[in-house]
Amino acid sequence: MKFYKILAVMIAAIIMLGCARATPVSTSTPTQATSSSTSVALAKSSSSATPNLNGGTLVRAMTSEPASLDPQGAATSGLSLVTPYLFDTLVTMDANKQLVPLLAESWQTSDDGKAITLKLKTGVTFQDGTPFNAEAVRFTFKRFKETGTKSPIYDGVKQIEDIQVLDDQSVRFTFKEPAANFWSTLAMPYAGIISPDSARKVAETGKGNLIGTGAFILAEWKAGQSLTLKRNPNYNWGAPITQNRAAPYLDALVFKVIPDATTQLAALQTGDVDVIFINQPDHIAKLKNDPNLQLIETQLNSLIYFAFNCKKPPFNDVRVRQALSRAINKEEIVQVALGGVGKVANTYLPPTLLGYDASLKTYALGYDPKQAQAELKALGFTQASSGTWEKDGQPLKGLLLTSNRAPNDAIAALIQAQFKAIGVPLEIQQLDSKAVTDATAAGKFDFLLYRYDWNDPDALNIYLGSDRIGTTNRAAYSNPAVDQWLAQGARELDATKRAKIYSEAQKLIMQDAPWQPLYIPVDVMAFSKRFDGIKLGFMGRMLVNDVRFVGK
Amino acid sequence: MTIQLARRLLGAATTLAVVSLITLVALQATPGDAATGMVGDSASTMQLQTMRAQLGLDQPLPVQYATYIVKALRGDLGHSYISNKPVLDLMLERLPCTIVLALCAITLALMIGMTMGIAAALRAGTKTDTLLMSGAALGLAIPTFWSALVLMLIFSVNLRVLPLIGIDHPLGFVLPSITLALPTAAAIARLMRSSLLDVLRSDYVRTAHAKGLMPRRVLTHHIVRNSLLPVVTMLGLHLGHLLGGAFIVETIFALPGLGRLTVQAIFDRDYPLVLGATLFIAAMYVIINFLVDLAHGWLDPHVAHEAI
Repeated sequence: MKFYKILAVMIAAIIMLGCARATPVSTSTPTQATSSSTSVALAKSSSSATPNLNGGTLVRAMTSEPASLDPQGAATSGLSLVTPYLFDTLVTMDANKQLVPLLAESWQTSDDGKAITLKLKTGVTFQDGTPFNAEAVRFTFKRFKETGTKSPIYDGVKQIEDIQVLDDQSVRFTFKEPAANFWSTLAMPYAGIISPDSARKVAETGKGNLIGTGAFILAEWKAGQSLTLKRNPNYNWGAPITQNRAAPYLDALVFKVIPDATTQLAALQTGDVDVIFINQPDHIAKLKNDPNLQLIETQLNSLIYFAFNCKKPPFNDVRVRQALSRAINKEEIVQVALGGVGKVANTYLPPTLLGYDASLKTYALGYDPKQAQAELKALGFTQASSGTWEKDGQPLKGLLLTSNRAPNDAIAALIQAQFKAIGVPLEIQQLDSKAVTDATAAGKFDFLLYRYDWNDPDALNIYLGSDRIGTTNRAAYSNPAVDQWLAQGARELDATKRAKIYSEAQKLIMQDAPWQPLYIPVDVMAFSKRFDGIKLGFMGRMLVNDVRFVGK
Repeated sequence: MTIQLARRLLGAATTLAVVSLITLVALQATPGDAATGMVGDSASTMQLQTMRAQLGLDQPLPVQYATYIVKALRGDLGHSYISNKPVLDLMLERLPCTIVLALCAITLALMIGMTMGIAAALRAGTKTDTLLMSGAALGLAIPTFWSALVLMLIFSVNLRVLPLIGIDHPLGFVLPSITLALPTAAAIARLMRSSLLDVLRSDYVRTAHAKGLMPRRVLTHHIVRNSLLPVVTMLGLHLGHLLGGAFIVETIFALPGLGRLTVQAIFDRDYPLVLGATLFIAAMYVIINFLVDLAHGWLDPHVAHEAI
């Protein structure tokens, strides 16, 4: 009897709790989707006072939260998403990848290219009230050189030989060799300038966060849930990449942690979030016709490529690589696996980077399965009645390794089918990116489907330079002539000359065919029409200074 | 009694030591380590080696294990490789969410499962029985990630009656708890039904009826109470499923719980955090099963003398 009583009381309590709580939600949701309570409150109050001008809370979904908000720390997922709003860099890039001033007003390069002098903006203050000056810049990069070993731009920063404070608003960087990629290093969000005062406090107490000069101030960080950023009312030093260069119109910018892509999609539909980033083609199709949403596409400085293990026979033979490269139908990959959202790539650099040269297409190995088979035959491979090839008793087949990032599975399956069509069986292995890194370093693969994201043509050196074999040069490709061009490119400060160098380097690389470049990814951001003025800047960064809440 | 207790404590310690060793070996066998992830896609060999040395990943496995155990015995579970915060703090921060989720799910599972099981047993062989048991089979067969998405779609996206994500709203736990409870409820329903049927056919139930007890009193005092024994045992073992399910449910519903923390730690190859979380789950297992043994004593006085 006792048990039944307890059970009955439990059921009754839960039903009552459910009814009591359910009512307000069900009545409030139809008018204003279940956005976070603060977002709704802020948006409503401000829109009634000064309609369509200020206020509103923009909520963006992010897949995982950064481990810390130290721009110089390990680039954990989400770090480069959040830090640009908190920390300004000295320079940044506009949508055309042209360098534009941010905290630096102007700059000069010495004739030998080994010194850069930057003049800083005046009247800029950190969010903790301390002034931004040359000493802060010196402090930031000194700290970077000492403790920033985990940062992806550490190699770029390491080139700095010395930093001198010339006066309160001028600073000079000196280098051993001219450093052409230094500007793209400075423009990366990881190079944000830190308030020396805040860094000392964090170092002493082990608590708190670093402070920058950004347009937003960190207000709250709920571990595993969300980061809330409030507008910085004193801000008036924005870069000429948005019309509004003063404080943002938005009251707040919230990053909500939602690990699952499907949940992110649902959260956008319910209004829990206002902005999501999509990289699954089927999700794009689902949102295309939603009248409450707008989609913007952006091309990143990225390339998806198919690489050969250039150390492993028979793929160490350039002719085998060339023949097999012809088996790949990139157009089909873009249409089928990507739903048409992507751009076929022919060269090793994306069109958005210096050094891209469309005329190199003549060196590209286009789709031609018959030619591929003819070339294999000419190389002494014999085809069995089953269609497979062999030479010296060794069958021609391979392991295609890729990471579990969408839509790699679909692409890998297509390539598998395309290779099968010429008689080369592939086995697909999909691992998480860390496991792929390990497998490629150990050479445990024949083919690799992978991508790079880099905002400087030095990418060719990072991913194909001989001294990067064993780490980022996953194809283990080596050509001393190419290495020479790439080293020269890293030192050349004249943009026209530098572009020519990378064009020459690509010419050689393309003849060696370590990769078959597949496509340039087009990333899609979907956002709610309750906000107006969202733009995408370089590297797909969401620019929010012009964003206004227009409500609905 | 004291000897029994000491024996159990020794057993628990051995379990935890073995679990931590297996976890560490499994982590080492997994390709990729924390250093690879931390320095990123574009790192040089130098950067990678420096990082490995900093994390102590270049040490041989027995040394890594011994260092860990010595520290763990002093209550120091180490610092996360990724965020550099103490593992214990990170876990305690996320624990309340998982506990609430697990309690809600267990309660729901018990309510749904027992009601279904009792109803099916009392109407064994009828259409109601078939319907209920088919439902239970379905509940066991449907994977958690799928039922989560379906529930989300119906109640949050289409009907808009329940919040989709997060714990800002107390109702945020409703859909995750239901999702998590479904397979356990189904298992309880099936076990409850068969166990109840066994008891119904037993001699002492017939005797109880024969001596003229009220049928309801027979049901509550003799039948349900005795048929609960296997259910309670199963519940203790099912805790593992529940925590495993929490990994998925917390990820899908974006709940800041221990499960999601662990999943992220695995992807990050954050060894101290994965070890800490595994040890914690193992400890929970040991404690819960100890409680289950105690509950046995309460449900069945025969066992009381042997328990502990």
